[in-house]
Amino acid sequence: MLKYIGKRFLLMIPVLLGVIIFVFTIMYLTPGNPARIMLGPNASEEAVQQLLEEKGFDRPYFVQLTDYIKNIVLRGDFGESFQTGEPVLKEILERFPTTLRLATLSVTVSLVFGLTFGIISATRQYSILDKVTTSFALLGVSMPSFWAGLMATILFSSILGWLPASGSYGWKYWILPPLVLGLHSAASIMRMTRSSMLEVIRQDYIRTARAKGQTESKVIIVHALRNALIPVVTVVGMQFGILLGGSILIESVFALPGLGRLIIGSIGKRDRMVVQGGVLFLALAFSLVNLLVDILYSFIDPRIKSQYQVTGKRRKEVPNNVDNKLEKQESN
Amino acid sequence: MNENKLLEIKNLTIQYKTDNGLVHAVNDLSLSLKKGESLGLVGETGAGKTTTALGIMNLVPDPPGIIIGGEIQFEGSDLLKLSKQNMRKVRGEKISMVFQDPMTSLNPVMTVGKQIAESVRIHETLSRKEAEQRAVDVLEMVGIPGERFNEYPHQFSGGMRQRVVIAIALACRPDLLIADEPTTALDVTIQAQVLDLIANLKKEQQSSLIMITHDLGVVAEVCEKVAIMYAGRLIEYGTLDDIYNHTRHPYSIGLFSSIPSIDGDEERLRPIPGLMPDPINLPKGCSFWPRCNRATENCKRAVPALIESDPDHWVRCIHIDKAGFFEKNAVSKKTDTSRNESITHTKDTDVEIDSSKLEESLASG
Ligand SMILES: Nc1ncnc2c1ncn2[C@@H]1O[C@H](COP(=O)(O)OP(=O)(O)O)[C@@H](O)[C@H]1O
Ligand code: SF4
Ligand SMILES: [Mg+2]
Repeated sequence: MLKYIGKRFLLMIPVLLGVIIFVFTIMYLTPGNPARIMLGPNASEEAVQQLLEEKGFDRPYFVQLTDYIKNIVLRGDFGESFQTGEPVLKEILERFPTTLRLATLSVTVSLVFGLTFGIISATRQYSILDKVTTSFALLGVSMPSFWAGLMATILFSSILGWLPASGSYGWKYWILPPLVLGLHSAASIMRMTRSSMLEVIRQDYIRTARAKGQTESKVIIVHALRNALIPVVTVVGMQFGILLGGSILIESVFALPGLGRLIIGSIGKRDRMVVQGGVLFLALAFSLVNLLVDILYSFIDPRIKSQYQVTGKRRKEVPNNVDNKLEKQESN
Repeated sequence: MNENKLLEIKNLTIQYKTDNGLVHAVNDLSLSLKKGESLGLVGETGAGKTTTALGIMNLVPDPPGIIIGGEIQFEGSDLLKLSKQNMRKVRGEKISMVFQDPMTSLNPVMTVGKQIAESVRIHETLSRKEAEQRAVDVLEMVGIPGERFNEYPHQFSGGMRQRVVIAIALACRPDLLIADEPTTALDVTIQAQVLDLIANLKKEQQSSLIMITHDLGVVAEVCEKVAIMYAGRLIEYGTLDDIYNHTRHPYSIGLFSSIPSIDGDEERLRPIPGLMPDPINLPKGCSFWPRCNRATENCKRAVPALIESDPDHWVRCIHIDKAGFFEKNAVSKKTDTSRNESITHTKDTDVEIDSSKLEESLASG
């Protein structure tokens, strides 16, 4: 298992490297001279040129790219923001907690609603409750989250005046955004839970559990749910990634000072280093969540765990003839 | 109800509502079982054996299944009238079931030990520790080392899994064990072991057994009584000796003549040319007439009644009377030399032949 996790970490390196090269290239090719944007239209040509040289942006593409990667790998240096002159890492770390909080709260909301209604509508298939929830879920998955965010702001802030529309100055500001994002992804989780649960309920081992005399609620919670969760976990992991990235839009709608808004703002300003660092950071977070999901899998499903164990063991045994012989004797 | 009777099914009718129509899975079935008795329920795939068993357990999947009517008397009460709560007390404690496919009937994400202990804890007030100890004991009883308590189903072979399923079923020492084709999904070499296990445990625990199978060899090994089902109906019922040595019903006779030998009984039964009728569209009259080589016009009129051809030997065929009219005829026509000697049909000489019926049947066949 540990070996597997280590391998997954190593596999993240090429992925992240790819992300760096990709984002770097796009930002490099984006028209607009960053020094000109920073200094404004009235600045002199010399001043612009001087700033460019100072930041090293006049050097050839390949030199800049290798320099950038080298600095990250060797010194953990992501460069400095054009606009503020602050280290990029510092800016990101300031903003990331907001994004993480938004994503975590949203995932919590989506899990609570998605799982609950998924289970309920699966166990009461074709009931009115099932039909209502599935219709809502269909509505939910078909609505873009930023649009839902705008509508929710109009309703709860402008019309009803219950909640603030934007900003982050206390808990009230943290109700609408996670609810909008969370309910949106709850729709996918609910649909997945429902279909997975319907599949599991028909399995023979559920009948075995009933044949033992187990109560219906325990049959569902103890036997069906854990099996039904296996595909749901994948969806939750994907949703978490989407929430991390999707927060870019929602943070803008609700004016939350998160990483997403930092990236959007920096794109407008051609603040290359911040955009690159920010995207890289999101990619890292996404990969880590994916890894976490895979590890979680093996806790839910023992079959997956033993797969890792078997492959780990086999590799060890190939060069070791004595062990091999012992095993053969044992299996005989 | 008779003191010694453990289970008495009366006129049980179960149907499935499907998009293609109403499936008449079990039709007006009556059966009874004494304490400690083993009954073999035999029939082709689709005859309604599993549905009957699920009916007894009150586990017919609904939808699409509906128990249309009948009674299932068990220890003084009608199982079909019990509350859900009381029925749960019967399941697993009084009546247990072993399902056909051990590969799918265990929960893949729960250790086998827990799955056995769960059964114990539902019905008995035991601490977790005590229940686990009991599970270890039961595991060893079915021939699995207790150390494997914490292993998951996928770590066991098919035969071992079926032992686990049997352990779950027997953990609370039920009065009645229903084994639904417990060996069909297993390798030949394992089949005998599992059958022996069931037979021995049944004896030890003094429980009754309904052994569902399409394999007459299995029945001969473990059962005292045999019931043969066809298209949801019981068509012949009697002691092992009645069914094996005094086979009456044309379908049963066909079943026996299809067995190549008593040990090499791997193949599914496809005894008589033709297929079992579609239970959505059962033929009028005797459901067997399209395949019966002795059918007459009369057979198509009404469902034949069960007739007691010998004491406690019941047959559902209009051309059978107390004398077992078809017997000789059937033997001469159906027996071939490759059939195993141990299955011999009656050669009683005191058979009265009703010549008018004989002529009628020969003319039509
Ligand atoms: N869940 C179900 N839905 C619809 N039809 C079913 C269902 N289960 C069984 N049947 C039908 O009921 C009939 C009897 O099936 P079953 O009791 O499983 O027979 P057996 O166990 O003897 O093979 C078959 O025709 C089968 O197709
Ligand atoms: S009633 Fe007729 S069709 Fe049915 S088994 Fe008897 S002879 Fe054959
Ligand atoms: Mg069956």
